[in-house]
Amino acid sequence: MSYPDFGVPARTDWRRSAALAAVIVVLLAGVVYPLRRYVVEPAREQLLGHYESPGRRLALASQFSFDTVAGATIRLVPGRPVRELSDLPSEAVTLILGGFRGPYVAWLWIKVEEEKQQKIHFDLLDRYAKIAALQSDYPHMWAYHAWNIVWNVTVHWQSQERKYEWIRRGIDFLREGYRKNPHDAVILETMGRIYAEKLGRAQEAAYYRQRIEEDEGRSPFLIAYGWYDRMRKANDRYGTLRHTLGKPVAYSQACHCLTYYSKELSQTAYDTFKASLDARQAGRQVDARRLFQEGSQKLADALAAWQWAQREWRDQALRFEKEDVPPVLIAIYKKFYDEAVATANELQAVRSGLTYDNLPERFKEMSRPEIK
Amino acid sequence: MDNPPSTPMSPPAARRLWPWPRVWGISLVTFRQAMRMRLWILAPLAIVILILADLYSPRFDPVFESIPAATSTSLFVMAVLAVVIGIFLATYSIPAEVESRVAFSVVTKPVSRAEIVAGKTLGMSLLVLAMLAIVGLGAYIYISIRAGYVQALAVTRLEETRPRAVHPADLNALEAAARHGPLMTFRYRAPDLLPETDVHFAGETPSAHTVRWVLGETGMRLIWNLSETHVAEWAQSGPCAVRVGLATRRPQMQDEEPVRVSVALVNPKAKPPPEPDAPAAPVTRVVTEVPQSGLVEISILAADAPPAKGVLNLPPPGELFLEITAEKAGFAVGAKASGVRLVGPAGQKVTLEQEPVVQAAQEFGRVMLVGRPELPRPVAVFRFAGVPGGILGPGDTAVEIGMSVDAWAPAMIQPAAEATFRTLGGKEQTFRFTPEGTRSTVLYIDRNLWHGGPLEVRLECLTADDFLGLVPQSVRLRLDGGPFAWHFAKAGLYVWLFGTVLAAAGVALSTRFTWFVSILGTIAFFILGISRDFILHSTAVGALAVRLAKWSDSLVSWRGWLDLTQHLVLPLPDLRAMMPSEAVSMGRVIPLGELGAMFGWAMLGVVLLWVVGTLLFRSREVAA
Repeated sequence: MSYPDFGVPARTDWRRSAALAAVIVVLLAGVVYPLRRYVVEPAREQLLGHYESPGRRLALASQFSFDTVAGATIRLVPGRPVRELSDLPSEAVTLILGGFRGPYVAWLWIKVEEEKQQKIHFDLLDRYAKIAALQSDYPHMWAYHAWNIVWNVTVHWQSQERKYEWIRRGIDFLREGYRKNPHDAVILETMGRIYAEKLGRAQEAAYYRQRIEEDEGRSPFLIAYGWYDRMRKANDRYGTLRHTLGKPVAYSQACHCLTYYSKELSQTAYDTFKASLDARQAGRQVDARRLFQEGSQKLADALAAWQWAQREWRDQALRFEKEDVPPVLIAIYKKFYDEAVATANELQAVRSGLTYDNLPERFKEMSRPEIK
Repeated sequence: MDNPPSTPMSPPAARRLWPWPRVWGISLVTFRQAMRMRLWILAPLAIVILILADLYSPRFDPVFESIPAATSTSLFVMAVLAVVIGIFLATYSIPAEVESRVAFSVVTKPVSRAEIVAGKTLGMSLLVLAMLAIVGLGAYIYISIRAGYVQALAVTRLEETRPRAVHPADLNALEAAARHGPLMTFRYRAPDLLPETDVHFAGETPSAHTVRWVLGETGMRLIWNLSETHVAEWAQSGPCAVRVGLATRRPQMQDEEPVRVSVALVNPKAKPPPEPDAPAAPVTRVVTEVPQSGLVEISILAADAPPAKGVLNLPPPGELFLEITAEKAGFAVGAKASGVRLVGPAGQKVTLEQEPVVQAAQEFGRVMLVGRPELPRPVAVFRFAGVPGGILGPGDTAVEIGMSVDAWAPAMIQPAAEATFRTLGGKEQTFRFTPEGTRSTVLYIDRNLWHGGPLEVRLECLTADDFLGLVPQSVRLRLDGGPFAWHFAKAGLYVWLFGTVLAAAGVALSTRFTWFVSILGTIAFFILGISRDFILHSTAVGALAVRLAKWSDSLVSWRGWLDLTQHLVLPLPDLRAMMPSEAVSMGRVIPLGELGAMFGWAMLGVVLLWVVGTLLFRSREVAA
């Protein structure tokens, strides 16, 4: 008669398995990550044309000093990314989350959409940050969520202060996307659009423009121009605009920003002259003279801006004439070029011979352009 | 040789009738086994993870978001822990015992397979409960500490914001956070219906008279249902007429200007004709002046009669409504019950007894309330019928206004709204406030004014060109929900029920399959259970359930068919519904009834899984 061998439960079995699993994980992390970081990634960058020589990186850094002027951090300089935990390659995140990265991200996407629609905000930013950490290599993710924050979440709030705070969050979010995908034209284009359309031309634009002047020291149109210009350069070099706006339309946005910027300066000059006249009527001669000087300076700035816009429109029109672009689009470029030329000539005419004494007569010839 | 005296029943047989001691014994063994594996380490690890995850997560508004976010993170981490136990541990115990042959010594004892499965399930449930209790305690301590910081922040914010506040009521929510701390819980009571609309005239109580008013250019309409009348039949034999007695009001500055109204016949279910000017349009409309007498008479012709000026053609057959609107902003028209008379071609006369229904513009199920800076203004009236005084509790009673504001006014204009609380006795309390986002305006009702019973909340938008979008939940009574600890414990119990169902599934699968297969099966159960709602609403499985329900309903009419067929085609628990919602993290207490119902559903699921597990276990050869 034989009895079954009950044996003793092997208490050390699971420990051995766990130790083995840990060794495998460490080996994978120790091999896969360095392989990816130092071999695969540089090769991929070279293949895609993203790889920059040290000299080129320096050149790019000086070109993008624009950002540092605008208060951005050194992390935004392309070619010099600071590595941190969320910069780990996506394989590493997959490994850490035990293969659940995909379902987790899908769940997060569903949740943010639900919460956005239900106007539940308390962990919305957190969820966006988590999605960004898990899909940081995916430029459209950055653009899509930044768009969501700036356009769709802001309208849940009524006061301009709150709305502006949400827009700033959207900009910060997209800046991080830019840091991680410095050559992606979609991100750059979205950033330009936020500054030009949302901060420069939305219904609440007067408030936003004032806040942007306070926070970043420049007009939102000028900042938008910077981003659109970067978008043009990135797309020319790396072809990353893909299937968004057509190239002639996307590239014209930078020129439009300069036109808006010129109009904004013209408005300021007009308003300053008007204030000078009001001060003169009120008998405050000192103030009136000071305001006249300021207005003259602003008029000169506006004239320079119009001439800049004029050059931009002309250069782009000439560029696209050499490419296979439909004539109707070239005609649009030329139309805006003509407008810039005409306005610059008008301002030049107003400016020549303008004195404090003849301001009341010359002011009648001036008009205040509208930013539509 | 004498036979031993026989006893009616031996002690072991007596024990078999009452299985609880054996089930409890197996569950304790299962629990201790897990503890011996030092699984408790997962609990402090989870606490550390939740604290780090919360501290390093960006928040937009730390005062109002920190505690909901910390609560949400805690519940999420607790749920993840429950999933880990349910998937990886509940599936481990039985296969490991079978493989190590410990199970041989158990199944050969006078213990049934059903008792073993029940014991294992109960043990796992106890384990989930113990782990969640440890993590929940840690999370509660963390949240309490964080609440102290948030309260200090609220005090600072209040001092900064007070000088800039446009209306004192705008600071109510912040003041509450500064005074009581952010660990507040709430019970809500919302009206079930969309708000009625009324007109607020200067210097009088609008609802004190029986006339129902509408205001021009606000989308408000007076509506009578003519579907039950014979006007359509009458019109076949000759022209009919509709006579409406209207009351009118003009703005003071425009005493001389005539009041014009638009009178329309509408069939809302009729399709528009292919050509715009074709006869039998779903809406026919006439604009006319209201004479001094207030009596407006319009002729009605059949749908196919040639259209004529000042005459209404009937819309296509079906439903029929009469709609009247005022034509100009600031002008109001009103009507009483019995204000409409239909006259047939042979002199037949019918007077409609009912009052007109006043309807505001609606879009996507919302009432759109137009804003006007001056009176008269449209008013949305939310009614709470008979709130028992006993449920108000000792804390503050507030009305929470959460509405979407469609702002079309120039951006530099500060939006404003006004809320009036009116009791049955006619007492009133009025607040002005800045509508800001959603669920952020809290208005406190004076307890001397109202302490239960009917309550009317009247809402007006004071900004020109703005619209308030209102749904039934836009205005809710917010009552004190009791201590936060109890609220958090109830949310934890929810997670425990979720973990228990998952653990039961894990145990049930592990009775028949290996550990690895059981893990995969439990993961599949988890994913399908989480996405049950999605599957039923977005896939062919859901369409099949709908089809089956329709077919069954054609045989026997019953409104529960869809639920039943959905459970038949996808016999899985809705695990997503077993997770506490975001509203719970935001302080909405879980009613005991809701918790009880969830407990019942979870136990039903556990029992079904226990039956499945027992059947699977019985079909398995365990002993040699």
